[in-house]
Amino acid sequence: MSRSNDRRDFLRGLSATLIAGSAQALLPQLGIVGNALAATAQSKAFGNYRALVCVYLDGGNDSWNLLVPRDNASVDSGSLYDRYRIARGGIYNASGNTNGLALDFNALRPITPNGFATNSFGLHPQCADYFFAQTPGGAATLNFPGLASLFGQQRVALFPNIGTLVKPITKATYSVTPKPPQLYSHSDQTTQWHLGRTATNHPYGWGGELASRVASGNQLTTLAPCISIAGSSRFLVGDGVYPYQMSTAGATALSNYSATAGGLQSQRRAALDLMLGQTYVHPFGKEYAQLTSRSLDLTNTLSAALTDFGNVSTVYQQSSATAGSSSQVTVAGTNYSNSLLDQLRMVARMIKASRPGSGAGINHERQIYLVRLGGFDTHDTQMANTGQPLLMARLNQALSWFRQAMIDVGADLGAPTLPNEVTLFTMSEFARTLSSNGNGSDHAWGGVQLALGGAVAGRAMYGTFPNQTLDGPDSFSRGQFLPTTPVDTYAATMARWMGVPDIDLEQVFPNLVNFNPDTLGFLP
Amino acid sequence: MRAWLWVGVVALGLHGVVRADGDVIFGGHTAGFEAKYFVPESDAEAARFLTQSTFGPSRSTISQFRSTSYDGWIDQQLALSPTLARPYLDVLAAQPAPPSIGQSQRMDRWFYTAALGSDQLRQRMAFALSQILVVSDRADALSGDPFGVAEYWDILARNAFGNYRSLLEEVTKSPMMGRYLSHWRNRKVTPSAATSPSAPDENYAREIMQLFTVGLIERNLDFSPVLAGPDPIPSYGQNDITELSRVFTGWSYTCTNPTTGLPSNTNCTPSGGTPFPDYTGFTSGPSSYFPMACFPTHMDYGAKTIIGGAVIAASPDICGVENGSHTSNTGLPALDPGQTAGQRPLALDRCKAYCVAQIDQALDYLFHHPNTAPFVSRQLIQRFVTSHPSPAYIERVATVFENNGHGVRGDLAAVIRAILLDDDARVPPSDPTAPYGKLREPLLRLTATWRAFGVTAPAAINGEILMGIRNPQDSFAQRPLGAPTVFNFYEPDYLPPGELAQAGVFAPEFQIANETTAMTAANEQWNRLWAGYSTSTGTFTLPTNSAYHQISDLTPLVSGANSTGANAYNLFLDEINLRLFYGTMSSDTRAVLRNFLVFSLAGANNNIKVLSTVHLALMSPEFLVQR
Repeated sequence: MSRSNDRRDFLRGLSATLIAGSAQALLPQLGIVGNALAATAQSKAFGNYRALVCVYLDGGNDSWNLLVPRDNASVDSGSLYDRYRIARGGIYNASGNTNGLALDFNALRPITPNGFATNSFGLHPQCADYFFAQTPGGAATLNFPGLASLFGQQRVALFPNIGTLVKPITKATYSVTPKPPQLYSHSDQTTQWHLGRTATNHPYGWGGELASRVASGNQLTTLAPCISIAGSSRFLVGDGVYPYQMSTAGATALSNYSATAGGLQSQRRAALDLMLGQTYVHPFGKEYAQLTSRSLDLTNTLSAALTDFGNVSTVYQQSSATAGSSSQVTVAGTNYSNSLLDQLRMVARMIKASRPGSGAGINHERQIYLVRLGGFDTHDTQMANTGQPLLMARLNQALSWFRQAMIDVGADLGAPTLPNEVTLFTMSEFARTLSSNGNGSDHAWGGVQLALGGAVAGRAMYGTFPNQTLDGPDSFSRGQFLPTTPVDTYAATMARWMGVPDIDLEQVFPNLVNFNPDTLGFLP
Repeated sequence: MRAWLWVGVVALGLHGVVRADGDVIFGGHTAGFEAKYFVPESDAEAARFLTQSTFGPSRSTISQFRSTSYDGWIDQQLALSPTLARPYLDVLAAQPAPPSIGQSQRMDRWFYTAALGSDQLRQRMAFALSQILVVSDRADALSGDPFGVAEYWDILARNAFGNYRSLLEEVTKSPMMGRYLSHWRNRKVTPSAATSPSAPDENYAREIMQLFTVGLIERNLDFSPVLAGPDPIPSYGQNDITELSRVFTGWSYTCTNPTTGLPSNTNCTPSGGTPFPDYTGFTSGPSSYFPMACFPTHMDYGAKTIIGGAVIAASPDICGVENGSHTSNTGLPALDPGQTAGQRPLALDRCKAYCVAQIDQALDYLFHHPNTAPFVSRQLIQRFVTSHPSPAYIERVATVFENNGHGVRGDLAAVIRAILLDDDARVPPSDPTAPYGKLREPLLRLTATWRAFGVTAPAAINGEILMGIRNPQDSFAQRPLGAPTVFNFYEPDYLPPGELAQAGVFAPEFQIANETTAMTAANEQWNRLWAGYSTSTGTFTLPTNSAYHQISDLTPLVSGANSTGANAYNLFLDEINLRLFYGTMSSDTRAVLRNFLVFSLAGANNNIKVLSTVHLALMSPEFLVQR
């Protein structure tokens, strides 16, 4: 990043001063800083399409079982894997070691990050290639590459030991270094991940902050650049950006109130429009009236766009023979739903309909999507098939499908570069204790995230894999890791790729001034 | 850390102990002749109160209320025994041809009670408490156990006017909470070399502090943060959580070994005897809804230092053997030196007593923490009256939480009376733009509509009453005891984006209000409203599988002379205004509804006139916001 702008340096200094103050004192001053800087930011059309897709792993992913050292299986060899195995209480065995949280060395899917020995790391066993049958009962002959293969194809990057930070911290400096408030708490750590800052009274998330800076070239302005298939989240809220929320079924219409249908429907609709068009002075009434109107306005547009221009042909494991039925995942012979894949199907359809030139008239240049998979708060029965194996299978298959869908959508649109225009990434509020609580793990801090996409410089680990000895140099007694990479640099890398001017990055991520380098280089 | 001293007595039954530092200042309204709000002055005022305090006013409840006083009505409600859920499922299961009993049957029971139960205030309180002390049947561990989840609801209903301390204890020992927040079968550290070391599960220890009692930062009585300089003060640290997690160890389903008569540390089948190894399978049945029992083998009997530096002393006995092999443990404590096997039950009893006493002591500390009163009071105010209560309102209610006027802390009956009879509840601010009141919870919109317009349940089929809605989360984003996470459907500190966030206005219910749920909720309200009625002809056919509306009192008001002339539809609109809007419908909204009747519905069937107009009214922002 260029660091030549005097005015910006002045403001950086001011920001740093403010950060040293309290959260309460921070907000009003930041407003001033924000306005001063905003004047320098330019809105412009990019003339191309880019989208971020955030996959939120809700509950705190035990990601130390997503990425595992795989250097040497021998017991007592002192290998990285041996440290891992010991710290996790030994290899899980349903009839022998129910305490244990470690994965068997030989079950890991080997990967070779740049700069490391061949196959010296492994991904969770469920990160294998995605074999499936389109309809129940069929032979599982369809096949997309899983996360381990995609890593090898340079489509996936891994980030060991990311977490919320105010500034760099080590065990030695822990007691004297400012720390994010309320570590280990679901709600607070979720908020900090979503805000890209540790002052949780900020009203905007970093997704929304990005959108308010890069989406001025979006044509259909009634559709927000921030779209959630996962309910409300501050991550997508920005200054003037009210995220649009939809379901896996798309935009939901109001039944019995069609403006064009007969019977009493059009009259009902006319009366409803009159009612919603009144002035509501109560802030809650006003808010709900706006929400309802917004929904009614967009329903028709989006329903038509998705039907006519948003069909994605990529096959997946359907729960029934009916085309478009919800998706399934099979673990150890049992079928389970996969809401993550269903959500990503809607994202793929929206991307197809939204990209400039799709024909649907949406013509968005920049979009940020949020999907969510729950169930990661694995305090209990983590290692049973319905625990982590199912979660990892859902994640792996959904991401594998999505990557194929982007290729197919690109082909449909005559835009083979589309896979390079969409970057998917994970967030999760924290990783979990390496040590077992008897049959699961508890809340911790730093953990592993991943990014997937054609633009991602993959087959690489960004950041330092920690020493997994309990209470060793990098962790506390139960294996709670002090992060070595902040959320801020991970997010700022994507913000810059989306077109946020460098001068704005430290507005969006106020703690960024404390880190060098300030981006991670996994995107151009 | 704030100086905070509470002299606790570690013994059962001594929960009413007053804080040692406590000069008691009593405020708020209690039962008595001097009560400020004596009788409702109008039907509209009565309807507004019943909107806050019940699942919705009806013509008959408005009349009943007007024949008594505010305090008299509350007294009546306090005296009603709870309508229970779990016994209903038991009766259902005993039918000659019982249905397969799942969460759907629990849902039907919940909707039946909300729509037609007489203990309305108690059930509303249970619903409010269910959104603080969250368990959820969406979790795999609970989804297969409708009896256990129903019993959890009954715990809330039975304790709705009891003491928060007792409620907290029943919740803590509920196997549903145990399974949901995983202190069920939670074990002390097992340092043995035979297996791996493990630490107690921290889940419940964390959430009971963060969500059920003290919250994350120290609070004044009016809920404002206590500041150290400019910064809030964390209420506790990670070490406090780790220490408290050791208290919640050793608990599992209650179960007695039929041979020895001793509690078994292993699980038991529904028939009540055969043990099977821990950590396999899941059973439902009696052992899954009785309070959990302590199995001292797995209980941490060492000293703990919990929140605020409070020390829970170690057990005088060594409890349990530490052979590290979980499945082979017998549940018996190690023999003390010189002790014979015959003496062992004595030590076992002492260990079990310690197990209970340490939870007592921990709950006492949390219950008496200065945060608990404002933390719980504020959320209860949010559920009944207003999303963004004034600090003074919170303080008045929290003061009653701290002392009900008779030296008792945590008296929920006194707390709900204080909430409902406070000036801030009874008199809305004169400024119509003030962020006062709340967006109605989606499920309360449904129940309010039902009750306003003659809800009737269909006849039972094999003992089962079908209300017509079993997966309300799909349309309303709410499900009784079915939140997505322990953080409920929405969080008390949710700030809707835009002007409300800019102004720092909390509005939890907006967290589940979005472009999708605005439509799905309206669509489902349509389905419930029209159950039995043809949308094309208005013809009514008695439904057997759904609650339905009886509107014969309204159809005369939309026909004949009532539908013509200058006063056309006025009587009908007056009824809608009273029952849904407690008399606050604006003239603009009234004009829209009236024009709709006059110009669009003039020739329609009377049922269609009534139901179409009601549904339109249900989408009015003036109905959707309870003020």
